[in-house]
Amino acid sequence: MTAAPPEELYDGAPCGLVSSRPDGTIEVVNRTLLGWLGYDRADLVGRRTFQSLLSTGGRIYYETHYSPLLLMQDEISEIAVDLQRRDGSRLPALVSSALRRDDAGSPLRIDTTVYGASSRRGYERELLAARQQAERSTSRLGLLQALVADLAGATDRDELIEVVVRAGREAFGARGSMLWLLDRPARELVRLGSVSPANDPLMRRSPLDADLPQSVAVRTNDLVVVSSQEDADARFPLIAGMMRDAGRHTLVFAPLAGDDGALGAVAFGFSADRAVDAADLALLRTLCRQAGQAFLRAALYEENVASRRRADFLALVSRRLDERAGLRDRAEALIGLLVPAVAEQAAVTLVDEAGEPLLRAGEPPDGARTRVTLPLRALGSLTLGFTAPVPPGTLQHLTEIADTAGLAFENARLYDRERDNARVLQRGLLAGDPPDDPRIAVATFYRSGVDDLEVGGDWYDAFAIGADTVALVIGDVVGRGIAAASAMGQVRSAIRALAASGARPGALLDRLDRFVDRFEAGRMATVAYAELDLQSGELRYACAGHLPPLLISPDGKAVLLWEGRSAPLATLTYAGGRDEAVTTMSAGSRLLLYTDGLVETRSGKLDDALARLVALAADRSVSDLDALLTQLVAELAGSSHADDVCLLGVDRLG
Amino acid sequence: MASVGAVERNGVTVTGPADAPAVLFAHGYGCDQTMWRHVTPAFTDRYRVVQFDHVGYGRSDLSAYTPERYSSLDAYAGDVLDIVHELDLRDVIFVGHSVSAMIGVLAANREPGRFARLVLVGPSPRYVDEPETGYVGGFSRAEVDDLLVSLEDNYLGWSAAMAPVIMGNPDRPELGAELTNSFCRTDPVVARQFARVTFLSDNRADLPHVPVPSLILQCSQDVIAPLAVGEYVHRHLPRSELVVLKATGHCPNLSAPGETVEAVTAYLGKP
Repeated sequence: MTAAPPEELYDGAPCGLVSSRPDGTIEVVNRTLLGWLGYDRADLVGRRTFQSLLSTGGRIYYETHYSPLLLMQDEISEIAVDLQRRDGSRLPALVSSALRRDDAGSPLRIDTTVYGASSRRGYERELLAARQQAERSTSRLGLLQALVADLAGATDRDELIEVVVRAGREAFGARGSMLWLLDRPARELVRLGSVSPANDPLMRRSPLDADLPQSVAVRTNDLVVVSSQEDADARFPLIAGMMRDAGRHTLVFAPLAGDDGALGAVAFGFSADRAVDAADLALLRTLCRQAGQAFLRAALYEENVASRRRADFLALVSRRLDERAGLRDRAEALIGLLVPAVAEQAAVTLVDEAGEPLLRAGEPPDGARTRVTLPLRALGSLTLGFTAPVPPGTLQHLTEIADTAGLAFENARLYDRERDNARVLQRGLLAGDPPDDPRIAVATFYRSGVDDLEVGGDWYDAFAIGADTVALVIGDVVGRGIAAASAMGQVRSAIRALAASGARPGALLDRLDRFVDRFEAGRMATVAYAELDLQSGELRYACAGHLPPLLISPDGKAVLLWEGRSAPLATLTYAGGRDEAVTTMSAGSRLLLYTDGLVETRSGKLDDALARLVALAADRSVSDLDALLTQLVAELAGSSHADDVCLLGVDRLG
Repeated sequence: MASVGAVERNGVTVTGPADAPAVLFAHGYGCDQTMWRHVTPAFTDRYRVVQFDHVGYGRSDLSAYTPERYSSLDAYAGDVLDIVHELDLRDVIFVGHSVSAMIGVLAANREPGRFARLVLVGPSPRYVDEPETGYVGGFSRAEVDDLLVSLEDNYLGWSAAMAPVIMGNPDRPELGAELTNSFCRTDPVVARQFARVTFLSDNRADLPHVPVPSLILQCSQDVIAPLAVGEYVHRHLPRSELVVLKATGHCPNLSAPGETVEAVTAYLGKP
């Protein structure tokens, strides 16, 4: 066993050893380092500083980092630097130094070890490359996030196309890009976005089963990379020429991934100076997957907007048609809505229940390129004419329109029928003959509301009770239409029945109240009820919420009979015991009963209207009764009557 | 600009009498304010000594760093002015080492009223040679690029391997205490960009406008700022004085603190 002498251990150590002055001037250097660097001892000792053996970058590093730290902490370890050999080549090394101080603490000497670090530096460089790779992927991640944000911000298809096409150029450094969406029924890819000189028809509309990389990308739902001109020549001769002309070195075709296969494809073309690596491909794939989702979302959004628009149109059809009264008006309104918004021409044919033509409206689309005839719910048909083929998905909407319109026609017809029924009913109810007695003359007037849409609940009645008494009635059942008319009929019959049983006005209304409470419609009504004794002229009357009767004396004095009042029928406020009043209707007097349609004014001031009624009636006390009624309606209600007007006039002749 | 105050952002430390004239020490590229630790004790009895770390170094707030903001030395000069304002310093004696010498020049040019004198240790207005004008900065562009590669190479060693070595120093407890703050703690990302900003800057045009007297401390055999560069600065800086130290290397504040202190105090003692 032979131990190496210390000198040999130093000189032949498996690492470089240097001792230098504090300023770096080399005092001792071992054989190993001299051998590595190709210097003789005499070249370095006393002549060179250790830092002068470093490459320039290493030397700056030494001055700015290595030396300050060594001076501050007296040692520094494993710093990576390059030493420069005599022949100019470099020796990657890891260097450590210790600073020795004298007793006073002043720097005395620097001892340095140098380890060759080719393999370690290689390893570190790999780590460094990995870090740089990681940084690039961080920046890619940032890129992807920005793109995803852009995609999320785009609401319609065109904006999305713009984002994706632009991303290829700006974010990936592609020279050109193209985007196709798949037209499934046509089995072809339709190019919708492009930044590329290649404008071959095959690239604008690419058959799905063609040997084109975009078609392959969609069919396989996977990336297709054309990595060189040779690759294109061999695999995709259809695009090889275009690729050459455009000067592209690499082409990447990525599918726009949807839920159910690819929705389309995006192509990115790169020139030779932009190497496309695996990370780029992964990112492109991710981008296109995100873009595919965004396209699905946009399609859904556009579908939503369209269906909302369709729903709005249906609501409009329904509303506009309901605003019109008759079938013809509704048919015209429908055609007005459809032309030209939906179709170029439209015609409506309606038939009656026997299938006989009832009504025709619009222009039959005889010369149209496309004609669509749709049923209007068994009432007829709607025929539409178009100058172009009907876009897919439109037919469903047209069917809905026809159905909505059909419903409106059906309602109109039902409505017309109900109105007719109500009118017949009302006329029947009003048509009872007034009592035929030489001691009185009776006149009546009835006019329904201006819109003529529904009959009202106004009625009058005059009938004999025994030999010398006549009952005079006027009333108003709240509401309109057939229900009000039938309620009115019931009240009218009840009054006749009660009067026949001998009830006097107050008691009659009292009992009528109980009847109204019980009967099904339970409607509020106002009634003025009077009994005239044809012998004495005694007038006994009661008003349940109704306007006061007007009594006009032979001398032309008109008085409103404000006595005998109580609440309307079927109101909860009534607590029983209705008032009645008595006055005398002298011979030659005139009594007027009326409903509120006569005195309802736009200003709503009932007192003013009643005052005018009193004045007019007094003024025309000599008028013929029938003429007076007509004059009063003309003067007071005018032609702008919204409500029914009903009058009953009685002259006591003597 | 930053939400944090400059004092916090730049890890400012203040020692010495509050009413004394202020000396602001700015560290150079590669280290932090601890670089001045052998120099500042000589000033704390007569001066209000202010030290700080550039953002990305020492105890500065790294979150204040953005590559966009710190893409030129102007941002660093702005930080100096922020500190001056926040501490309301007036008639400042600015002592800047290495790249901070030029940062001081920029700050004084921007707000001349705040500064009394500049002390520039190892200054260089441009590190890269300019063959067309014959300017010698000491480095070719290729050599500066080589430095940037060196920084890359030490990225791992610097950030991972170095720290424990610096921390573990059981033989020198007093150093250990100091080391708990960590020496020359550098964020490697900042270091790379700062190197680029520093070694590719050109501040020659700023020199003639400096409105206050200055002292140039030039080391012998400084590869970073060679003598020729020191002379260039002296020639173009109005009212400047050039002192060539016996100290070698680029960091006389560490390698020859005594000589450095002597030169600075001698200059400040002059009327």
